[in-house]
Amino acid sequence: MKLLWKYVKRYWIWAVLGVIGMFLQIFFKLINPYLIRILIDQYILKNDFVGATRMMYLILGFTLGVGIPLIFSSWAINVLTFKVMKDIRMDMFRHMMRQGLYFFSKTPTGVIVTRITNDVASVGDVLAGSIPAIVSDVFIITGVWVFLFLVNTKLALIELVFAPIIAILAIGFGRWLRDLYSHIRDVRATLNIKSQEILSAIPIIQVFVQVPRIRKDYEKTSLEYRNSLFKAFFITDIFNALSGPVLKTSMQATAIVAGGYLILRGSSTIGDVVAFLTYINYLIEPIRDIADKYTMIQDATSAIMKIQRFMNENWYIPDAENPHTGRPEGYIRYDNVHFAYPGTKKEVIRGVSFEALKGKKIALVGFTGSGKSTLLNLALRFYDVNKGAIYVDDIDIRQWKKDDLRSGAAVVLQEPFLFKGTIRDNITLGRDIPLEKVIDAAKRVHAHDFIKDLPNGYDTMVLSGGANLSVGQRQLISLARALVHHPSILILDEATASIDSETERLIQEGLEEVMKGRTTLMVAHRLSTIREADKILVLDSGRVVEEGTHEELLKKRGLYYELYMLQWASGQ
Amino acid sequence: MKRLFDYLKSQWKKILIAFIALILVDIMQILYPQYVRKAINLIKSLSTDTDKSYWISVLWHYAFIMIALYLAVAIFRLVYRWFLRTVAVSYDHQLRMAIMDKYLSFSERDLQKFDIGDLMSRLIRDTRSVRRFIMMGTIILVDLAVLGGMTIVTMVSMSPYLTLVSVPPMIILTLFVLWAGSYMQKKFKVMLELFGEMTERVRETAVGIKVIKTFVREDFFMKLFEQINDRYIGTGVKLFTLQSSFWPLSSVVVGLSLVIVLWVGGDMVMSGKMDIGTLVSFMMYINMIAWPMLSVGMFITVYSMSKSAIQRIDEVLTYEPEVKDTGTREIEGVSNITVKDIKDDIVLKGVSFSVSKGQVLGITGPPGSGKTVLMKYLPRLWQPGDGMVFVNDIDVNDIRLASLRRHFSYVPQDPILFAGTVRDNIAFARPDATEEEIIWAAKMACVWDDIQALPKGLDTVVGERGITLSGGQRQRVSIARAFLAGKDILILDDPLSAVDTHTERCIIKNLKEYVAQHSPLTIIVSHRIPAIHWADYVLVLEGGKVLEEGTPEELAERDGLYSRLYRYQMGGDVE
Repeated sequence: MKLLWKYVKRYWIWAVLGVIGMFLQIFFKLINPYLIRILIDQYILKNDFVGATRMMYLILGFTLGVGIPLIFSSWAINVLTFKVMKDIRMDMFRHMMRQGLYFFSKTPTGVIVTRITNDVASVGDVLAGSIPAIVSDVFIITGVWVFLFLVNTKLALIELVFAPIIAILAIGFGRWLRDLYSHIRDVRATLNIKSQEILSAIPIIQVFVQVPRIRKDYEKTSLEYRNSLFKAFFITDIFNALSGPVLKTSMQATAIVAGGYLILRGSSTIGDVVAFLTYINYLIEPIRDIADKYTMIQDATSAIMKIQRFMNENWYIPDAENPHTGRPEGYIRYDNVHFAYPGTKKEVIRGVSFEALKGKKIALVGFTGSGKSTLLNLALRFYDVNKGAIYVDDIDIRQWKKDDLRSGAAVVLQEPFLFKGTIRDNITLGRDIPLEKVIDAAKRVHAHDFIKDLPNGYDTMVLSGGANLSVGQRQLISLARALVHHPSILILDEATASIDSETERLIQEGLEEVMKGRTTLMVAHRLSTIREADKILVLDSGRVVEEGTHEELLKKRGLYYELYMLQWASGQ
Repeated sequence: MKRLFDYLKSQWKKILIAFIALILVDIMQILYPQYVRKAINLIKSLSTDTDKSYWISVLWHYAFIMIALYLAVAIFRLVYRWFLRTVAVSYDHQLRMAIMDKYLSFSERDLQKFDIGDLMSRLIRDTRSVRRFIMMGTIILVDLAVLGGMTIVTMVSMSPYLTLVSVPPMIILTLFVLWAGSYMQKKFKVMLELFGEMTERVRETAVGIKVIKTFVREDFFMKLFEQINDRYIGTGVKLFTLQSSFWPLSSVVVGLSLVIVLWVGGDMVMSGKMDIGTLVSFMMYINMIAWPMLSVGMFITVYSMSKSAIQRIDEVLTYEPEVKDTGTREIEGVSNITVKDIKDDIVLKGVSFSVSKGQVLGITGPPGSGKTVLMKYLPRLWQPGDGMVFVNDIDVNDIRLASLRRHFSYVPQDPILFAGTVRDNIAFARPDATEEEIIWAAKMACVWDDIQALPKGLDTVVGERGITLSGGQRQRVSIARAFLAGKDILILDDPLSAVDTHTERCIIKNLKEYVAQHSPLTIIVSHRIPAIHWADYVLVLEGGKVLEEGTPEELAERDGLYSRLYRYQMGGDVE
C-alpha cells in the first residue's frame, strides 16, 4: 500500500476534488427525503399550494443537481487513477529496460507483460472502484444516521437497536464471504494451471493411454470449483436475504409501528415516518456487494505485492566509476573467460581465450548447448564474466562505459527484431538519421528494392514482429539497421530458416556488405558464411576444442568434421 | 445456442420450479407497498381522540403482514436462486468437461491451430459467461415481464393519470441505458485494442531487449510506450467516467420520476383526489419498476458476451480432430510393425520398413529428414493415411486407439514432463508402480544420481511450479518413464541429444540390457552412431526418403553417409 500512496500523493489535488464531489453528491441525495418530510408535514397535509410548489422546486433542484458533483467526482477519480496507472507503468517499464539480460532469461515474457499491464490494471480497479466505494459507504452510513437523528431523535434511537445487527452482518458475513471467494479464486487458479499443464502434455497423455486418469483428475478439480461456487453463492444469497428483505423490512415495520406510537403521543409526524422509510432503503445499500469489495481489495493487495517484487528485482549491470568513454575500434580479446549463469554453479563457458583483430571475422560453431550464443552475449557485457576478462581495444569491458561500448556495436539476430512502427523507424530505431542515409544503407543491403514498392515506402507501418513482411525482408531490414549505425563491431547470430535461393543470395550479399571492415563475432550456420571466416572456433561444452580455417579443420577429422558431415555433407 | 437450449430443456423441472418461485417473489413484492399504503393512511387518521388500543392492534397487524411478506420473499428468492444456480453451475462443469474431452483427442497439429491461452480461456472464461447468462438472463427476463408488467398494472389501477405522467422519464431512461450500453461497448472495444497494443509494446520490447540495448535505444522505446499510455488515458478517463457515473445517473432519472409523482400526486392529495398512503406507495412502485427497466441494458451486455462465448465454445466442440477413434479391432501383444511406402504432405516421400518383436531398428539422418514425423505416425499421434502403417498386419487406422497405444513406450524428441513430482513423472504410465520399480527405472535411465541430488529426491516438484530440470535430466526422466511403462513397443526419438558422452554410454549399455531381457520391438532414432550401431537393421533417411538401409555392419562397409559418420564417431570407441 505504501507503493500506491507514493503515486497517489503526486496527484493529491484530484483525490481531494473527488472526495469533495462524492460528499456533495451524497449530501444532495440524503437531503431530499428530509425535504419531502417537510413537504408532506408542512405543506401537503396543510394544503399549502404555494409553499408546496416552492418546496417542489427545491427538491427538483437537488434531484437533478446531484448529477453535477456525481460526474465531477467520478471524473476526478478517474483522472487520478489513470495518471497513477501511467506513472506506475512507466516506472516499471523503465525498470525493466535497465535490467541485465539475465532478468529476461529467468522471467518469462508473459510474466513481465502481466506485471506491467494486468497487475497495474487491477490496482487501477481498486483506485477507481473499491476505494471510492468504501469512502462513499462510510459517508452514506454516517449521513443516514445523522439525518435520522435530525428527523426524529426518538424514532432514531429506537432504530439504533438494529445498528449492531447491521455491523455483525457486515463484518461476520463479510469475512466469511471473503474466505469463500478467495477459495474460489484458488480453485480457479488450480483449474487454470491444470488446464495449461494438460494442454502442453497432450501427446504424452495420449501415447501412454493416460487420458482417463488425467481426465478424472481434472474432473475432480472442476467439481471442486463447481461445489465451491455453489457454496459461496448460496451463502451470498442468505446474506442478501438477511440484509435485504429481512433486515430492511424489520426496520421499516419498526418505523411504522413505533412511528404510530409516537404520533399518538404527538412526538412524531407522518412525514417523519415516510422519511424513515426512504432512509432505511439507503442504509441497506452499502452492505450489499460487501464480498465484492473485500475480494477487490485482496486482489489489489496481491497485485501491489507482485508489482513491488517486480520493482525490487535488480539484475542491473552497473558502469564502473569513471568509466572509459569513446568509440571502440574493434579489437576484441577473450582471456581465459569462465562463465556460469547467475545462481548456478555449472560453468557454461570454461576458459575460452581467443582474439579478433580489428576487421576480422570469427565464426563459432558447435552442437546446441555448446555455449556459442553465451559467448556472444558476453562480448557486449550483457553478463559479466566470472573469471578471466574480455578486452575491447585492450580495455577490460567492465571499465568501458556500457552505452559507449554498445554504441560501437551492432547485432543481427536469428530472429530479426521488428516492432510496430514505420520501416524507417525500424531501421533507425528512432534515431535522427537523414532519409538519404537510410536509403543508402537499404540500397547497399538490397532492401531498398522491396521497400520502395511498399504502399508508403519508408513510412509503411510494420506490424509487431514484422508479421506483414517475409522472413527474408525482415532479415534485410535488420541488416540495413546494422549498416546505418556504422558499428565497428558486429555480433551476428545467423538465421537457420530456409528461404528461397534468390532471397538467400540477397541476404548473403547484404551480410558481406555489412561485415566489410568490421570485427565480426558470429554464430554461423551456412557453410558459405563459415568459409568466409578468418578463423573458426569449434566449441564443445563451453571450451574451444578446435581452431582454424575451414580447410584446416576438415583435415583434422575432429568435431568440426562431424558437424560438417551431419549438417552439410549429407547426400553428397 | 442450440446446445444450450437442449440442455435447458432437459432441466425443465428445475427451471419450472425456479420460475414459479420467482413469480411468487414478484407478486409479493408488489403486494408490499399496498400494506405500507394502508398503514400510512391509518397513521394519518390517528389523533388523540381515537381508541388507541384498537388502532395499535391494527398497526401491529400490518407490521406483521409486511414482515411476513418479506420473509416469504426472502425464502422464495433463495428457492429460485438455488434451482437456477443448480442448472447454471452444473452446466458450467458439464461444458468444461466436454471441452476438455475434445482437447484430449487433439493431435499436436490440431493444437497448433489454436493459441494455448485461447484454448484455456474457453475452458474457464467462456464457460463462466454462459453460466452468468443462464443465471442473470432468466432472472432479468422474468423480472421484466412479471415484475415490470404487474407493477404497471397496479400503478394504473391506483391512478392512471399519475402513471401516465411519471412513467415517461423511465422510458427515456431505458433508451438512455440502451444508447449508453452500446456506446460503452464500442468504447470498451477501443480500450481493449489500446490495452492490447500496450501489451504488445511491452512484449516486443522484452523480446527485442538485446537489440535495444546494443543500439542503446532505451529512450526511444520509453517514448513509444509513453505514447500508447497517453492514448490509453485519453479514452480511458472518458469511458470510465461515463461508466462509473452510469448507474448513479440513472438513479437521477428515477429521482425525476419520483419528483413528478410527488408534484402531481401532492397536488392530488391536497385537492382530496388521493390519499397520502397511495402517494407513498406509488413512489415505492416507481423504485420497483426502475430495476427491470435498467436491467434491459444489462441483459443486452450479458447476452452479447455469452453469445460470443457460446460461439467460441461451439467452435471447439464441433472441431473435427485429425485422429478419430473409429477403429474397432483389438490387438493382444505385438508381433510386428510394418510401414508401407508412407507419404505425407509434410516431409515423408515414401518410406517402407518392417520390424518384428525382439528386433531393434535404428534410424538416422540429417535434421529435417523426417525421422521424428515418421515416429509420430506409429501410435497415431498424427494420423497416417490408410494402408501405410500396420501392427500385426492390421492397418492401425482399424485398431481401437486405446488398444493400439496401450502397446507403446515412447520417448519423444522433446521430453515433455508433466507438472508434479519426479516420481509422478517416472510412474506416469504406471501410477501403481512400487518404489523399487521407480528407482530401477531411474537407474536404468542413468538419472538416479541426479534425482538423489535434488532437494527432495523423487518427491521434488518439477515444472513451472517447482524446479526446472536441465534438458538432459528431462530427457532421462522421460527415458525412465518409458522403461517403467515396459510396453511391447519401445520408441526412442533422439534420446541422447542433450546428454554428455559418459551418460550416453551408460544409457546405451542399460538399453541393451533392457532389450536383451524384455525383447520389445525397439525403434531408436538418433544422430549418434553409438546409439544405433548395435541395431539389427538401420535406415538412413534423407529428405523424407530412405537413402541407405541394411545391417549396421553392411552400412559401415558401404561408402555412404553412414560409413562416414561411423568412421568418425566410432573411431575411438572400443566395443
